[in-house]
Amino acid sequence: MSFSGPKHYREESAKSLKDRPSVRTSVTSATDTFNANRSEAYSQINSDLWKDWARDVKSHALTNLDQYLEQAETQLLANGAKVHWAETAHDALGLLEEIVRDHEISTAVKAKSMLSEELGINEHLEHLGVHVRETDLGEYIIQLIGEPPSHIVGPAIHRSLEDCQRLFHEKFGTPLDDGPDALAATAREALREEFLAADLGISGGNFLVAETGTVALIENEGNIRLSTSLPRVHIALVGIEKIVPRLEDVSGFVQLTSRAATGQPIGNFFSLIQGPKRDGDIDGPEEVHVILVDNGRTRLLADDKAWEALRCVRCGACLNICPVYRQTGGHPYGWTYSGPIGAIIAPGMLGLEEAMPLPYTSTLCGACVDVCPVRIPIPELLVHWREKAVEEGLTSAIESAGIKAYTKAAERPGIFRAAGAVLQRMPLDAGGRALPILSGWVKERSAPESSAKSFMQQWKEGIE
Amino acid sequence: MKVSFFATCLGDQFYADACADAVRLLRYAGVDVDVPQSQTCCGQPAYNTGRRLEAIRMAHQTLDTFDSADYVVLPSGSCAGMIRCFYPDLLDNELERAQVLADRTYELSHFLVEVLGIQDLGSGLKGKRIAYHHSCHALRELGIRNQPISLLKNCGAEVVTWEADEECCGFGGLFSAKLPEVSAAMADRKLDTLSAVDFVTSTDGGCLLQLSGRGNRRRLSVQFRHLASVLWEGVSL
Amino acid sequence: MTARSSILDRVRIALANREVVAHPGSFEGWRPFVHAGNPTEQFTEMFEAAGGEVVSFKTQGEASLWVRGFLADFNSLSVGELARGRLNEDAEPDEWIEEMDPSVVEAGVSLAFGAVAETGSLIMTPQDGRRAQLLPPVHVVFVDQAKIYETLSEGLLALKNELLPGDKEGGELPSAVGLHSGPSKSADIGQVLVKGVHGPGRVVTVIVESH
Repeated sequence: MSFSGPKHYREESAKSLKDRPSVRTSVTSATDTFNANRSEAYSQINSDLWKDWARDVKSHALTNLDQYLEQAETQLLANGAKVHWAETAHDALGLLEEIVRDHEISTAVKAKSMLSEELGINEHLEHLGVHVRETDLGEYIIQLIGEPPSHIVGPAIHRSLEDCQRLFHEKFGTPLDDGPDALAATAREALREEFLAADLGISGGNFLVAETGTVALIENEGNIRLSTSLPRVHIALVGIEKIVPRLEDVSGFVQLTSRAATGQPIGNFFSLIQGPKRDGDIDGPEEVHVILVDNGRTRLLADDKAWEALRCVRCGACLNICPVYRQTGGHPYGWTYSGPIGAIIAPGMLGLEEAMPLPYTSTLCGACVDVCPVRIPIPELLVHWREKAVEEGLTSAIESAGIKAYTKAAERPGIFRAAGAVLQRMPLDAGGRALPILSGWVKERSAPESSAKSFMQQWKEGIE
Repeated sequence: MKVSFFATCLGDQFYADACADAVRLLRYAGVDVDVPQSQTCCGQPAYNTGRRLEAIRMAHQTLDTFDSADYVVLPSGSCAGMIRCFYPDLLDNELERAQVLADRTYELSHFLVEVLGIQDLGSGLKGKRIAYHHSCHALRELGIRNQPISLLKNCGAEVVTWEADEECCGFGGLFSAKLPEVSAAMADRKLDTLSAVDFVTSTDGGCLLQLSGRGNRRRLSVQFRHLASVLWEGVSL
Repeated sequence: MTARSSILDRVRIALANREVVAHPGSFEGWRPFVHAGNPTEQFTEMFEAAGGEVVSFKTQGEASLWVRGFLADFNSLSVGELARGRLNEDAEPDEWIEEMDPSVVEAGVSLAFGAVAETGSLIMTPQDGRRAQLLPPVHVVFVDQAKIYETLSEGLLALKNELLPGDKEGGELPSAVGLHSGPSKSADIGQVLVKGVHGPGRVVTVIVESH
């Protein structure tokens, strides 16, 4: 269930389009809904003011990150929570292992957490003999199928109702024509037992409030509240960039993120977790462990332009609006984070070479700029990473040579026109297969036809 | 009023007749048109693929070519956008000149409506059903949305609603050749949501090449025409 | 070198030449239209739009009477301590409520700390038990009208600053707070909305106008 890596993007996207056309249909339909809802939700507020505010709070937090991380740690400890720091995925898995062994954990329920996917914790826990159950309905579905999430907010949007009916029929023997309500009831029953039996609950964190030592989590199902309330141990995995300075700041972020993600004024359940149960609490975990994770975030923070991508609140709005993402869903990107946000954080977190060609999986159409709730300048950052890719020699040598030659000609109008005249006389369909740049074009489209006379020629002859 | 026309590398080669129609339109609107001969390419393909140095060189060439122009008009939202939005940053050691050029550069329909104040060209498009494709750069970089549509309507055309009209066509310059499968799927998204129209039009030749290329490969009958030619047809003489 | 010091060092180095951005100040929830009604009306509208139910009574006695009638339809209940206190106020004590484990009951009853009008949210604290707020398919929640805050910011500030029942010292958040804004829902199966997976599929807010 792990990701194949970004380098196969072209193959994987082509395969997805050719062999699994239902993915494109399902993803288009789901994102159409997300977009309509988000658009309506933004129109109900002064979205420009909200986005400006959110951008500034996040930039403030990030440019003071060390202080806020220390404050968050102090507060969490005062709340009775335990705090750990993980530089790498390896560190995080080691910490998880320690906690699992110390507490003799044999079963775990998981709330949806992109960070946990990024770290690959499910596989590791299974190795340790811990049974891990995803409890978010979408994550549950893909766990049963055995594939990674396709979208930040709706992990199973690439799967249709028919896919789910077939899956449940296979796993539970339910009738093939069971509707969504019946399927959901089956899932509820099955997961109910797991919630009640689990020793450990694992969650991520949408926001980490420094002022009060609070891990804040947004959801609609209630599985996060259940996973963080029922088991005796709760582990929260939180990326260091999730810091929000004050409790009252969270009021803005939960509302903005909910509107951006699903068009809701607020997610159905919003948890503010300070620490383990106290004297007087009837229930709640005996221990709460917060693992603060770096795993490439400090590397991204060090980039003088791309650090702004760390403002991301994981709403998925950029995925929903991206005309490239919408053709295939997230899998071809080969990493936890796909779409526009994936393309700009991967080079920082994984290193540019490993992230290629993600910065190029965009036409720079700019649709994402309109919807990002924290105003990340995505197209600018894509160009930034492309410039770095060229500097580091990671782009095609043929292409570089071609563009250099083109530029030379462009600086010499006489030569430029002469080259144009040659192109005019060349049947591009035939030449297309030979010229590497054109071969991609003619694979899917008819070759363009040059005008019989170029404009400059017509101008010379006089335009009536 | 004098206007310098920048045909663009793509326009000169693939949409030459539309460029000629643009010149005719501008003259009809009462403007003197000149075509500086040293024009070549605005540098966008280099800029978009991260080749900043090459983009700067082409930007210089363009800056020198149009230095003394009062207005620069292009039959392309993406090239006009390149000059308006990105030249000041690219040519930061010649910021003043670059900013002056940027402020004087317009896409054709934008120029007609906002600078020349033209609303009505004629009624040559009466009875035509047209779909308008918003080129991403025209829409999002230059804020051009209503100008082309109102010009078309005022020429008598019916501009139909199109669910995917503001979605990217999948051209993206070299993107179309490097990720052709996804690019084609994006074009298909546009083509499959079109209702029956006489033709599709847009400010940008790149978009039209992409959509018509894909349409042709799929043997669809829908026609694609550059906005400049369509508006010239709208001028019923 | 610990992971902690390594990470903090890397952060400091990354920020060494970065201009610090100032905090822009409080979030003010800027909206083009001000809601016409009072907080109670706005809460009701939002909560009902999300699929929840809202009833309102002038006194606790009336509210308790209604809730007892409502609960009579259920065979098994889990009632939180504070909610039980409210049910017994101005009414005969409740020998009829047999306390059961929330995982096996049909309905749970809680007292909310307060509510938020602009988001249609109930502020649930742990005293009445989290399991009773989450496991039963039906959840009934008392809330005092006076504690329906207009904005989420106000609600959170109140939580931070008020003395909660059982607190020895005030001004501290409890172990966990949940904002519940309607019945549990999901659209993960073919984009169709279903309710009650995994939290309560039916939530009834009982507003007590004067307490």
